[in-house]
Amino acid sequence: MPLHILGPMVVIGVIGVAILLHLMGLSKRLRFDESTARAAWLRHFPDASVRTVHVAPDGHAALIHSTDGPGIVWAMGADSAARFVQGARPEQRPDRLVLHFRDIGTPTIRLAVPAALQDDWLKEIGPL
Amino acid sequence: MTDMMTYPDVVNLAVPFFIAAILIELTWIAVKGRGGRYETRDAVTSLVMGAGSVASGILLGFIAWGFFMVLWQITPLDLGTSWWVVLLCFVLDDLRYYWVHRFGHRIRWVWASHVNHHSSQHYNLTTALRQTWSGTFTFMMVMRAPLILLGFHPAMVLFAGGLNLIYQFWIHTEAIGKLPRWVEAVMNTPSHHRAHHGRNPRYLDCNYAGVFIIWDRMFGTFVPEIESDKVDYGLVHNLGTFNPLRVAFHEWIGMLRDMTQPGLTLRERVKYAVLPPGYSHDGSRQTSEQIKEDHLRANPKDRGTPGFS
Ligand SMILES: [Zn+2]
Ligand SMILES: [Zn+2]
Repeated sequence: MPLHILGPMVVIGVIGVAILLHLMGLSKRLRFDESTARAAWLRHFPDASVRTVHVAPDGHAALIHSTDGPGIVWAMGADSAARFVQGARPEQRPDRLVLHFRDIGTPTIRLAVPAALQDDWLKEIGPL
Repeated sequence: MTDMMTYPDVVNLAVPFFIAAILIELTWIAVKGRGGRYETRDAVTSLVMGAGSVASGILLGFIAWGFFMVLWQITPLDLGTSWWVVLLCFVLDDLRYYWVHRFGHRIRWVWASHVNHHSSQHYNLTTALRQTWSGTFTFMMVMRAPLILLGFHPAMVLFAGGLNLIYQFWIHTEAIGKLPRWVEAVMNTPSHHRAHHGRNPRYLDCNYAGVFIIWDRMFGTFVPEIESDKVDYGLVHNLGTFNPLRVAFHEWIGMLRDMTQPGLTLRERVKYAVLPPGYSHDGSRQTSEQIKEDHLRANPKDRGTPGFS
């Protein structure tokens, strides 16, 4: 197929599907409560039992204290990802706490924690 | 046979069909309220990966093609183009696919390229298009060398590979349950391939087939989809990004960082490239075998069931 047809068809196809999905309400991010955050963590780390769960104010992430150390479980679209926080470099922004990692697959985790609560969160996370 | 021989570039021709099928699946899910899940950013990442894969084929395809044409000059054999030769080529190329795919899961160098196909936590027709951008760098084109040396024209071999890829498109769906027994016995099906995309310990490293599931049955890698162990799609360590560039190259960079970290012996550096994903020189990570062992320790009743031989 000639490129001048294939190219536009692909671009229009991708944009069209994106708009359609968004209009169908399929862009919603996963929300956690304490028990779903716990379950999501265990799905990623079945061997690291959960001691405590702190759900972020917006519900899209949670701080987990596990038997293997502290970690974050957070929404990746409609699904979740999780990782331990050791080695993270925290950055405090007015409206969120950002954890940076030296990891191409997970460069950052953005936590919607307002400035007033960030120090508490960092204390809760513990030494990085 | 002359080099004038041309086969259509079937994968490109199939693009309109891919888009139409995605819209049909989406409609089906919306109407029925079951049969799969779509999420905007996940689907867009998959589609962009698919487009990038075609683009990388256009940009880098000449490398493999040049290699194949050298082989074609060398070989004294020419099987011609009769229909049964094309059919035989398709079946043998599917065997080739099985082994390339198996290496893709068992050799980290090849996994670095293939991992992105497994990086979605969804399983729908867009997932099928989440294809590699870096296949050329795995050097897996050598796996096609035997076919060409046997006298199958390179264009025919690529045609067969294209058809193989197109076949695999429709099996990336949750909208189709199990098919009649004989189909599930011989062909790769949505059910078999769902298991292949599972991160559950049971389903790690199973069902490498492209078109015919018989290769997995022959070589001992077949695991049926089991209703009581619902497939959890994605990677053992799921990605925290939808950025297509990161999805495409994260494992290459991770592997190169592992190989070049200070204080390793040369042997350990090579092992990071050629041993299965999850190998680490200090035992800080888990391979699929160790994940299965851990699972069995926690769930002894699963011992001896499919996937836990
Ligand atoms: Zn695979
Ligand atoms: Zn697949």
